[in-house]
Amino acid sequence: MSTKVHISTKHESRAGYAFLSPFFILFGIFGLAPIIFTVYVSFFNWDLLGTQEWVGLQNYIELFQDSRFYQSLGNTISIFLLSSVPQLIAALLLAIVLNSKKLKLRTFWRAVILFPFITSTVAVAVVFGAMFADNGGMMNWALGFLGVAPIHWHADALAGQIVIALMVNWRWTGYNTLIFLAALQSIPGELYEAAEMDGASKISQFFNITIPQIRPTIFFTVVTSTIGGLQIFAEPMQFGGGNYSGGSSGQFRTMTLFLFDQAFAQLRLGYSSAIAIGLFLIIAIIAGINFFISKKLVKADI
Amino acid sequence: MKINFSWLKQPSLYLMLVLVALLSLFPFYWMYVVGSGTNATIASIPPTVMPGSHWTETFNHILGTFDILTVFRNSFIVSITVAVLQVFTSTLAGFAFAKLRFRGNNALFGLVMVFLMIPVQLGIIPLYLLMANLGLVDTLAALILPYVVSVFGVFWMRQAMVSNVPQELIDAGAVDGASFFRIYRSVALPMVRSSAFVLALFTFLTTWNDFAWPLIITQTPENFTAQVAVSQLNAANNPSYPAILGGSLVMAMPLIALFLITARQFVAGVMDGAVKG
Repeated sequence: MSTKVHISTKHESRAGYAFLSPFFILFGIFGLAPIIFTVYVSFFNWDLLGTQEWVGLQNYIELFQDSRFYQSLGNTISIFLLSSVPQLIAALLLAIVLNSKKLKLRTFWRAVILFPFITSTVAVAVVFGAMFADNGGMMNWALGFLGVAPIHWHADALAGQIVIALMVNWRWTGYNTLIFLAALQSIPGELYEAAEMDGASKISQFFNITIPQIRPTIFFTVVTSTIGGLQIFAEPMQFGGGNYSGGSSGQFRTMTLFLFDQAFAQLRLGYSSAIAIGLFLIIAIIAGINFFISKKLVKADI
Repeated sequence: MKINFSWLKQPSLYLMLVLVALLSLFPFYWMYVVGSGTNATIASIPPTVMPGSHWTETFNHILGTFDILTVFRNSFIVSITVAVLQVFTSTLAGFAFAKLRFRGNNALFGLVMVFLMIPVQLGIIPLYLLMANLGLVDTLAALILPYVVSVFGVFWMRQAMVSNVPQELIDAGAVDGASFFRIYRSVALPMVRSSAFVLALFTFLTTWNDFAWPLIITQTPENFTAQVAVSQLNAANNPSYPAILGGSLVMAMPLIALFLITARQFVAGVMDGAVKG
């Protein structure tokens, strides 16, 4: 970029490597190495008390035959879809509202919708768990006015998953709204003015200008909510009463909860490492699909 | 026609925003209502919406479960240390990536982009074993070490350096014979102050709210963080709802205060990150 004289000296190179080394060394030790070592541990019968016995693929064979694995995978995907889809749609609509030119108190509204984001997942889960109590909870009371019979939020599978998804939605919708708002603000106004002159309706403008223009941001929010959503842990744990069981019959036990249960309650580090690798692959596959689709879409656009 | 349309739209627009605001704030208010009530408040029909007068009992119950000051001190030490170290390592690496010329610069940054996609949280088991080998289980150091560097932080600070620090100033400093660390500290760093502040804010927040790792790596109440302490209240056999919800609110107070003070920068930070991300 710079047109100035190059002062690329040995000195500068040395400084470059030196300044990067804290990041690369520490990330290697605390980020990469544990991930790689997880693969190694997954081939062992390994407990925290000292047993370390090579068992080859045994953990993986067991995993593929374990009904809890399929149940937790199904729960994770169900909670993930129940949370990310409505959340991203709501966030986009809210962003459009907040982007209105005549809106008063802009910063106030933005701050208010971001407020849930600062709450810890533990606190969110505790509050929602109480509001959605099976007996005498506020939600069942409110639903009673609509003629709905009390719902067993903690006992029923889908109901429990909906509550957990609501916790995620409550915490993240405002955050994603601001992400979308930033994208909306970077769309050139002339595009809309030209469409307006051509007599295009608001709906047609939304689908033909807004959506294509913010496509990279949609991709970004989908990827981040995928990586986060598939690792959901604190909400189902607290909703299930603070243990790793994920409900009386595991009806909202997620993959990460299953991983923690095997590692730190059953002390089966080898088996839980196999779960971690399984989850890792699932995240990689879904991220890959995301990436592939978005690449296709971007190409189709050009 | 256009004027009519927007005139009709405005009130419903504000109504919707007010509704969203109420939804956003209600759980916090309700933590306060239950926290100041009795154990029956949470299940009362119709629901109690006015605060009670039992804060003292609630507070005593919380104090009987863990020491609030110790828990706060732990969370503060960990969150501030992580924020400061992460800003330091990220600005340093971001400066090198953005402003220094050396062989492999682009390739190494490509590697950082790959790292961005890796869910490192899944390495939790070996990380635990590593801490056990280092004798760091149940120490605050174990809560800090894994978070000293952040892939996102490096990415973020590199962007800030690229857009805020002119290359000419770096070259001029080098010609004058200043060390590159000196240039980083006295020239580059002051120019990316606001981005670094946003990174510090976010890091403080995520560290304060982190749950899974502190839950397994801390064992004795002297080392509990705020989140672990709250979960202890929730897991008790004989749950006191005022203590659980009141405790959640008390543990969130530092973040609420921080947010109220820095709301403007916070909102700007999220939106800025969106464009860059």
